[in-house]
Amino acid sequence: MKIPKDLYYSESHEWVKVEDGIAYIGITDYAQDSLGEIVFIELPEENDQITQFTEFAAIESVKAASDLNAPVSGVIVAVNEELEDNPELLNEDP
Amino acid sequence: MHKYMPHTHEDVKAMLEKIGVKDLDALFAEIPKELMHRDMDLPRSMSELELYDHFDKLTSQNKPLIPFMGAGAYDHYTPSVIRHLIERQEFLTAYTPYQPEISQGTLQYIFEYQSMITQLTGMDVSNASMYDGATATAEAMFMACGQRRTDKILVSKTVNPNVIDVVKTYAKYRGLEVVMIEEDAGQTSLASLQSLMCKDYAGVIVQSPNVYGIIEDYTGFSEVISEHKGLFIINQDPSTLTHLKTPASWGADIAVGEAQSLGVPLSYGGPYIGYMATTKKYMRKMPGRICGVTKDKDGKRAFVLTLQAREQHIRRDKANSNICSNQSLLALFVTIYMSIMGKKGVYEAQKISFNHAHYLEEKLLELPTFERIFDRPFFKEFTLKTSLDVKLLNETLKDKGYLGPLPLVTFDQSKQGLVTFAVTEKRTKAQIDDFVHIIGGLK
Repeated sequence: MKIPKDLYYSESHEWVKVEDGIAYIGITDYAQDSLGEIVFIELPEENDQITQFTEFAAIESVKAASDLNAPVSGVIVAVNEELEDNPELLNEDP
Repeated sequence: MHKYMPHTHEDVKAMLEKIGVKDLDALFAEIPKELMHRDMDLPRSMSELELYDHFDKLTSQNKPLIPFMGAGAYDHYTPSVIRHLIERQEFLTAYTPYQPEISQGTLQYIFEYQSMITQLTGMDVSNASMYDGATATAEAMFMACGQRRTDKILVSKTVNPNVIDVVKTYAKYRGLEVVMIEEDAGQTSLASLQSLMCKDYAGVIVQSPNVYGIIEDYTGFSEVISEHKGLFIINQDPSTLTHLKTPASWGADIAVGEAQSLGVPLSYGGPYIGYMATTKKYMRKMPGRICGVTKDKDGKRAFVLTLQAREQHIRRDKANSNICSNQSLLALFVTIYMSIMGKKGVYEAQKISFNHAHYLEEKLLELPTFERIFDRPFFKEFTLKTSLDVKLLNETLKDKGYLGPLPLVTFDQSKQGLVTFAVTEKRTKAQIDDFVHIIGGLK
């Protein structure tokens, strides 16, 4: 299980990394492992406003469907669109 | 047999004793007194013979009419074998079983039904069916609003008013706003859509053939709607898809409609069956059950319910829809209908309906009392303006054994004199000629 020290973590298993004023958000290795094989991810769109501790995306695995909560508030500047077509990337490299 | 045995006094007493309640009144103490109509003053019970006699008398008051009315319910031919098949006890249950995979036969016909719906509509994925065309349309609105995370939807004024009412009722209790698109000479106005459409709207709902029976032209619609990321929802009688352009080819994101026209006989108020199909992109937002095919541990083909993660038993309150059922028996009905009629048969039945409807229109226009008001193509249903007293027209037809046209003034006071006729392959030339002859005698 990877738990990189340079990331911040939320209680609902999201991570956040801030670089040059931009926050990168992901799910933890623990989360992807617990969810099992991920089959679908619904991402927000660019310019969407998100609020800390409220849902901003959804993730579906063969076991369950869950919401992702925003660890910080802000505006979406970019989403990893590759995930929409290849959600299993989240299992390989969360 | 035991299921039909009522409880004896001894049974009731034993049960009350077990749970420590004095008598039935004490058991029902929670129920407010005014709701406890224990003395309902019912008539005395009847013997089986008396009961048959009673219902025969009631039934004899019904007057069967030959319908020339449609508006969402069409009198098509139903091969009698369908009824015998659906009444088999393995099928005669309305629900997808709660342990679905145990009922491979049920899942298989649902899978076949879905395949047929996707073939008709050209869409990627169909669900296992819904209650009726109107609720399927309302569910499509939820789907669009859920996807776009907005609370407004555009609906064309040419959609059947009954469907609009259901959509508005669903919208009201979800806090959604329904805004109407104007019509232009009998068809949804593209100019009105262009001026209204913006990113506040989750999508657009249109219907073809529409309330007037007109086949709508959606050239340019999908471009306007997708420019603002809205979902394009087309409600279409699936039987007309044997001949007309598919929702998919118009660029629809969701196709819905009432599938009664695929062989389900008319009966007072239903049951009906709604269909819903969408693209791969939105399949995880689609309400209702979806049946899929896979392989079991021995590598044999097996049917399963699939994509359940979006459903309420998993997503709970966050599910897009609370529907967790389908109109299974009617889906079976439609599936058998299409299998028995075959591609050619379904096509022929609709072609004859089309021809008969056009024959009736031609004959009515020869009368001085009818005029054409829309110069647009229609399928098996059409609207004319009449100078006749519509009430008298329909009363006269009823006396002669016919169900006359639908007066559109029922829905809209500004539509005085507009009447909508529907004709199917079941109407013979003799019936149509007689029908026109009766109308021709009126002034």
